[in-house]
Amino acid sequence: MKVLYLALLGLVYSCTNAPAESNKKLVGNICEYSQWLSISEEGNQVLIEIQNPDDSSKIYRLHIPDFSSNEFSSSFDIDKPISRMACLSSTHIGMLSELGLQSHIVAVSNLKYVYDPQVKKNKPIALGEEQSVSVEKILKSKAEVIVYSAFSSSFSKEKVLNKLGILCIPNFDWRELHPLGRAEWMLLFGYLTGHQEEAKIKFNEIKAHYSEIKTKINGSNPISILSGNMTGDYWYAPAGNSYHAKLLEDAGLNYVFSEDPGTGSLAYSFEKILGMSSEIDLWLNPGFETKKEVLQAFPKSNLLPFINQSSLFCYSHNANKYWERSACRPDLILADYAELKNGLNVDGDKLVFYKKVQ
Amino acid sequence: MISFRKGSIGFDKSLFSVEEIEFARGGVHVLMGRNGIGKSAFLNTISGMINPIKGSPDFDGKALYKYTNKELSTKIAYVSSSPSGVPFLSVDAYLMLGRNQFTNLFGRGNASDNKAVIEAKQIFEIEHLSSKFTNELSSGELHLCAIAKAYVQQTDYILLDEPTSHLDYANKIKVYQLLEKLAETHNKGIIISTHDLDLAFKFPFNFYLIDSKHQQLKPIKDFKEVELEFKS
Amino acid sequence: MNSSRFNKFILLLVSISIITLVILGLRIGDIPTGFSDVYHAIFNYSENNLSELIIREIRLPRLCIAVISGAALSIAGMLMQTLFQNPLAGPYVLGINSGSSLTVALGLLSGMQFFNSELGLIGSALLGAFIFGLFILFTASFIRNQIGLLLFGVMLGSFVAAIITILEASSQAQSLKAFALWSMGSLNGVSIEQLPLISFVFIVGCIGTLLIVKPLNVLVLGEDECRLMGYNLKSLRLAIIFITALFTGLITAFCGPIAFVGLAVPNLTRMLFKTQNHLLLLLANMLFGAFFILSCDLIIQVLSDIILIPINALTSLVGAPFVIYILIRKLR
Repeated sequence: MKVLYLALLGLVYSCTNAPAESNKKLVGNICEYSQWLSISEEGNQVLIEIQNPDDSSKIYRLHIPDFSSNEFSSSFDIDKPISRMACLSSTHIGMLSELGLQSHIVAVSNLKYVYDPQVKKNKPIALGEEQSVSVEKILKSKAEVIVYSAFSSSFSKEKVLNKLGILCIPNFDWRELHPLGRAEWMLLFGYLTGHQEEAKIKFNEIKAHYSEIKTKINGSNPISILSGNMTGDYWYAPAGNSYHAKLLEDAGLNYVFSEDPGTGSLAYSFEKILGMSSEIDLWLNPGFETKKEVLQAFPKSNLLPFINQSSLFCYSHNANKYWERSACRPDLILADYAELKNGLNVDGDKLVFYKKVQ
Repeated sequence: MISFRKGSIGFDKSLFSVEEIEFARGGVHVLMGRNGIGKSAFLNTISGMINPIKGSPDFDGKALYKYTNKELSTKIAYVSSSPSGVPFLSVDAYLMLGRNQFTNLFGRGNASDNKAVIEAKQIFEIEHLSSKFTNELSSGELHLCAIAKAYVQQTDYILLDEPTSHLDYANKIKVYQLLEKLAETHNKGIIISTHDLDLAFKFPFNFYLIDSKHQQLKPIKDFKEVELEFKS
Repeated sequence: MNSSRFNKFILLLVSISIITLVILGLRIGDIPTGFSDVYHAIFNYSENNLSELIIREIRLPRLCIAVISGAALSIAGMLMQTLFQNPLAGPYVLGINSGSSLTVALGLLSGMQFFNSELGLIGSALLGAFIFGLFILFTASFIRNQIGLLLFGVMLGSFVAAIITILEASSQAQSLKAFALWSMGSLNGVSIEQLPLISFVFIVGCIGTLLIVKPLNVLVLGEDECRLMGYNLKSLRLAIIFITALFTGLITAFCGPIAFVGLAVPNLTRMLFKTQNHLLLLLANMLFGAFFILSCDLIIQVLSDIILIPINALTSLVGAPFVIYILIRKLR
């Protein structure tokens, strides 16, 4: 009980005070690619720091103490490995599944979007969307920790859950621009559950595989990729410095908007897209499984020359699988993209996430 | 000839009954009675706006309910007790609406329609109001215009509910004179209700009283019968 | 009342402006085109020329629907304002567009595949408008007075809005965004092949309105007066509602809801021409409505590099202050 009070105090202290020196990366940070996650080991102690991407003064600290000593820090202590977690995003489920820790997931947001069969079999409790999770259901699931994404910058239920002794951890993997930086968050899950060594091994495997596939753009005849789709009046596509653009670049593909700055979305008129259409070989991520749906959503897509050939691809092999697994397996996406370098001769069977739009 | 036999008048329930009444063309027929006795209800019934509780008025030998709205509109013009003005509707346009049965498909009037409107304006002395919008008029001016509109409709019968209520004394007389002339020279059947009894009795009209005691409509000859009704 | 010379002059001026704006609109865009491209796109069109393709397939339909939607919604607004004798009535007051909103919401938010893959967005919206149009017509033949009809439309709208909120509560971010964008209205969803049908329905509606111009003129005096002038009020009411449903359903299906045109323009024309003559008002509303939406569209195109403005936002930005002005005048 005392530890809990101290831990709460520590949490409040670390969250409300803004330590000025916090912007520096930790010494001995083992995270190479992640922008927001830092993990450092000192002897038997581990310090995990999660930085809020929008507010540099907000740093979330987790401390896994050396159990042989009685030291505690001004951050939240984890006194034993977590075995029951609530995951509010697909990527969290994916990362735990990748580590073989499906049994640790006791609650999710929405059962409809779960891909992993093992997780589904364990019948986790459905909590609802992050903005409006049911606190009672969280209690019912007996989760010790709840991992959230902070899409709307703060987690409204945090205070009340902390009072109930449940730890709330923000996961900013979706803000990582580097594909490996996003995957690196699986280390967090490793440390939380006491499986950090396995997580490190797994991540290194993925890292190696990724580097193996990564190539430069084929200078003579690069395949050009268009991404995105029309919604309302405009075509929305990932900008040149986004996560998606980086993947395409590492796969050796020419993304048509790679020079357009920004890390979010671009909005262009349909005219502009039509004007570029002669340069485009393949169209990625229209957001639909069938060509019919694409045309229903925006009939003028018919005017695009690349809608008529077998040049349309989406992560429709299994959308849930894509949203769950892609964050922690950038190597597999990269492999899919690399396969796209064959242009119109892509072998559809080789693709893990992607599939030709019917 | 408008006739009504063995009927009763009212909105939901009977307000008064009628044994036998005839309103011939060529005369002005004046309805009198206390407030709320059913004068407006009677006029509404005769004009076809509401149904009688019992019986059916007769129009030139044919029952009222057998007429279509359109046919009825060529036979009767109705002026309500307080006409309302409409923004951006000029008096000229308002009067032209009275020529509805004569104007073309889009409501445009020809030479004879224009002439009728001009003539009405002269008779009612409302030429100076031609371009004013009906919502800008005083209630008296608007009432005069409404009566003028009924006039240009050139129907056989004109029903007016308290036509003198908003008018000044001079205009009250003028209206009664006009109605008398319309009855005599144009052979129209005019039915009105009024509270301006002293003035009305000065004219050669036909008078009817809705008796509150017997709840009956009956013709009267003598002013004394009226006095009796209102004194009791 | 204005002199008829003044009226003719204004109408001519607006007509010329419309033609000018359309020609400008065909020329301006992200991809540079010249007037000769515009000429060829219309008269000797060849698919292979990219500029002509863009003018004919993208800009021309957008400009045409801008003209038609502005005209249709303004006429519908005029009809509603005369029926209810209320200058604050608009084309959506009966609740027709709630039908479209509901079916589109079902398609985008609930994942009912039928709406998405079989009908598409426009098909769903047309179906919704049609069903609700029938429902409203049916109800209108029973309701005796205006207030009842008005209340019915408002309640229908609230009911549908509630259902949509339930759908929204369990939707993913992507779907919510798609539905929100539909609700903002868009002139870009129409293709050139759909224009003949849209124009045909629009013309039918206009002819219908033309035929009831005379009773509409009398209706401003009130329902009783209208009846006394010989009109069957029930048929008249049904005719007005039918034409309004036709216009509103058509435009909402192809463009989503577009606010304020139907409310502001009929008031503007009435004030400008100082008349209740519905023949003149029909023409005036058609032209001024078209001009209004066309101008909004061009402003959006010109500003699209700096800021993205949905059509609904712009019509509301311009229309709302004007409606406030009317309110103040009325209350004084």
